[in-house]
Order: sequence, then C-alpha cells, then structure tokens
Amino acid sequence: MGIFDVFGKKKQESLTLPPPPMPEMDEHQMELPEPPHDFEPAPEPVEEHVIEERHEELPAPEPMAPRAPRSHDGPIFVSVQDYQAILNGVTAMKSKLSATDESFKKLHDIKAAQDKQLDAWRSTLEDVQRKLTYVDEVLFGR
Amino acid sequence: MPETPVFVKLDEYKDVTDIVNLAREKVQQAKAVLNRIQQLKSQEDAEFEAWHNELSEIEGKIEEIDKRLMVPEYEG
Repeated sequence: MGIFDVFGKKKQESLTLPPPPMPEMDEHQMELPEPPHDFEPAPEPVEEHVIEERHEELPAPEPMAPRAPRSHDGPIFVSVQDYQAILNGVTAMKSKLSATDESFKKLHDIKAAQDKQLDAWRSTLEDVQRKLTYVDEVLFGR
Repeated sequence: MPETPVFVKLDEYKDVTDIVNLAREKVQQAKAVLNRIQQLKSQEDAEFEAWHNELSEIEGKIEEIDKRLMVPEYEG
C-alpha cells in the first residue's frame, strides 16, 4: 500500500456518504402565501441628492500615519532603499554641521572684531572725557 | 519578473535610535540658543542705534561750540 492509497481510500469513503437529512416541514410551510389582490409594491423613493450629500460629507483621507517605532534592542533589517536614504541623510547632516561650524567660526571672528572696536571706542571715549574735563577747567576754572 | 526585496542588517538599532533622538534634542537646544542670540542681537542693534543718535547729538554740540569759539560776537 502506497502513500497515495490513503487518499484514494478516503475518496472512496467520501463517495459512499449518505445524503444529508432534510428538515421536516409541512407542505403548507413550504409554499409562500398569495399576496392580496389590491397589493401593489410601492417603489422605494430614490433620493439622488442624498448620494451627493453623503459624498460631500465624506471625511478627507487622513495622511499616512508614521511607522510605529520598533521597540526591540537587537538588530533589524531595513530595505536597501531605506538604508540608502538613511546614509544620504547622515551625509547631508554631516555636511550641514560642517557649514554650521563654519558659520560659528565667522560669527566668532565678527564678535572678536566687535569686541576690539568696542575697546577702542572705550579708549576714545575716556580720552574725550579727559579732554572735556580739561576744557571745563580752562573755561570755567572748576 | 518582480524584484526580490533586499534588506540590510542594522546592528545596535537601539543605539542608533537613541543617537537620533539625542541629535533631535540637540537641534532643538541649538534653535533655542539661536533665538536667544537673535534677541540679544536685536537689543544690540537698538543700543547701536541709540549710540549713533547720541554721537550725532554730540557732533551737533561740537559744531555749535566750534562756531561760537571761532566766530565770537565780541573780541576783547
């Protein structure tokens, strides 16, 4: 007896199953009653504008929700497209950070030059104050 | 024939996400610092404007004094 003989035997058994029992019903239960002579089925009113209103009331499709973050600690597998996008993003971030660092250096240089000019202004102001004091003494004797 | 999806294994996924979140926080902090510096810059510009006005007034006073000294109405 081979493996397929089992299925052949099952097929033969299924062919010999008896027909399912019919539910017991009276003859008058199986016949539908006659409708009254004055019965006319009223057609259901079709409200076309309702369809349009319902169409207008449909909510706008919500934007696609972001993917839920993965929670496990182990390694994950991302598609090559996502991996390439991540690499491009990291490269762009590094480039932007370098540009930001350059901007910081320029701002620092501007601030240093500004501090130098402010020191020069303070010296000039103190010099003018001394000279004005001298003029005040010469003119008004105080 | 459909393309077979290819995946790349990322080790230390938790560390990567932690670093990304940390970078996000640092960017927010940097933006806050930049806003504060811009406020200080606005105050500095206001002080420069006031300084410029005071210098203009001082210049006017000097011109007035110089005119009165160089062209006296009565010479002794």
